[in-house]
Formats: sequence, C-alpha cells, structure tokens
Amino acid sequence: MSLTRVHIDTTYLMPLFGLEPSIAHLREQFLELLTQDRFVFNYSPVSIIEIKWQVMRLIGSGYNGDLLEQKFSQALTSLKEDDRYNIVDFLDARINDVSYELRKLGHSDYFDTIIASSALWESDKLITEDNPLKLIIQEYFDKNKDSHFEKIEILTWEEYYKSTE
Amino acid sequence: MVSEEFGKVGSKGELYPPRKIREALGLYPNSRIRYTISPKGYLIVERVISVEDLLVSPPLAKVSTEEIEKLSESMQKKGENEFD
Repeated sequence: MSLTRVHIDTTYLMPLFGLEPSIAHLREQFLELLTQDRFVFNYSPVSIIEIKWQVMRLIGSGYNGDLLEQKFSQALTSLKEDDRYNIVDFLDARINDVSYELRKLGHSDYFDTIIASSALWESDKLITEDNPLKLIIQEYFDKNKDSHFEKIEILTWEEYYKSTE
Repeated sequence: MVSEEFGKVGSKGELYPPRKIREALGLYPNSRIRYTISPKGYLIVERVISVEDLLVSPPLAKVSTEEIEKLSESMQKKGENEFD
C-alpha cells in the first residue's frame, strides 16, 4: 500500500515540543492517524526554527527554560528516529526556485514559501491554517498552467482529518 | 547521581544493561534507544521518547497559530532590515 505524503505546517509539530496550538483535538486526532500507517508526515526544518523562536520567546517571558529545552531536544530525537515523519531539506535549488516564484507573486514570508515549495516537490497534500499561503499557491497554478507540478490538496487540519475518516 | 554497573558483551556483540540501569533509564521491552559515541570515546545510551509519548504528555505552554506566524514574520523582517 502506498503511503500518502502529507506536508504539515509548523502548527501541527508544536504539540511534540510541548506547545499547545489553538486547534481543537489536534493531539488526539494526530495520535489516531499515527496508528493507521497510511501517511508519511513531511515537515520543513524552517518549522523547527519557528518553534525554536517561540521557545526562546517563552523562556524570555518567564517560562521554565530547562523544561522547554529538554522537551525541544526530545522532540528533535523522536522526529529523527520515527519513520512516519520525514524532514524535507530546504538547502535545495529546486525548493529555492519555487519559493522565489511564490515570493514574486507577493507572498513575502520566506519561511512560508519554503514550506509551500517543499510540499509542491515532495508531498500529495499540504496541511496549513494559513489562508494567504493557500491563495498564493492557487495563484501560482493559475499563472503556471504548464507547471510540472501536479496540483496538491491544501487543507486545514479539520478538513484533512475529516478526509481521513 | 552516578549509576555504575558492570556487564559483559554477549557472544553476538549484544549489550545488556543491568536491571538497575534499565530501571533508571526507563527501558522496557521495545523501547527505542539511541547509541552515540562521544568525541572522547564514551558510549552514550539514551531512551528515545516516542512521538506518542510526547503527544500525551501535558503541554508546557499555549501558543496560537497567529503567534507563530507573527513572531516568524517579525524575525524575518529583522533580518531584512539589517540590510537597510
């Protein structure tokens, strides 16, 4: 059985690092999907950098740094060791080229465009809560009719989870 | 706290941590472990926490998707402004 390659945006990695995003039932639903062995969850190293910035901000505002950093290291090891997760290297000219195309369309967030470009190259679906990012990828397809990418599904977590039922 | 125990290498190269060590590290059948050789030649054995264990452990802080987005954009802007 072939596995569906699902690129997950930063938000969905956060629970592994001890951070609770504002998405109802994310932890329980993720646990359930992990038991199904139908998906590979791709993620970008830029998401890890975004999480690190949050950890640094929290420590700066008085949260327990030892606990946050311990959890951060545990999550890095767990992600690396688990075959159901796959890191998509962004030090890659193909990923940079598409990221640049997306920025030229007006999406100024470099990290977002790296996540989108990684998903276009390596995944069947992109899961994100970021609507502007979704729109810019649609615009990319509209303006590049002969693009060598297949259209990928771009879903919010809620839409994605429903689609797996 | 230093925990020291001694053992032997098995005939096929297996390493069996003694019970006290297993208990101290929380090693149970099928636990995943990571072996690392340090630059000074020490063997480091660590239990790898599963993704499932991380997902059921209590969160340390709440962070919304908007906060992630906002801080990331502001950090990137900072980088861009360095060149102004």
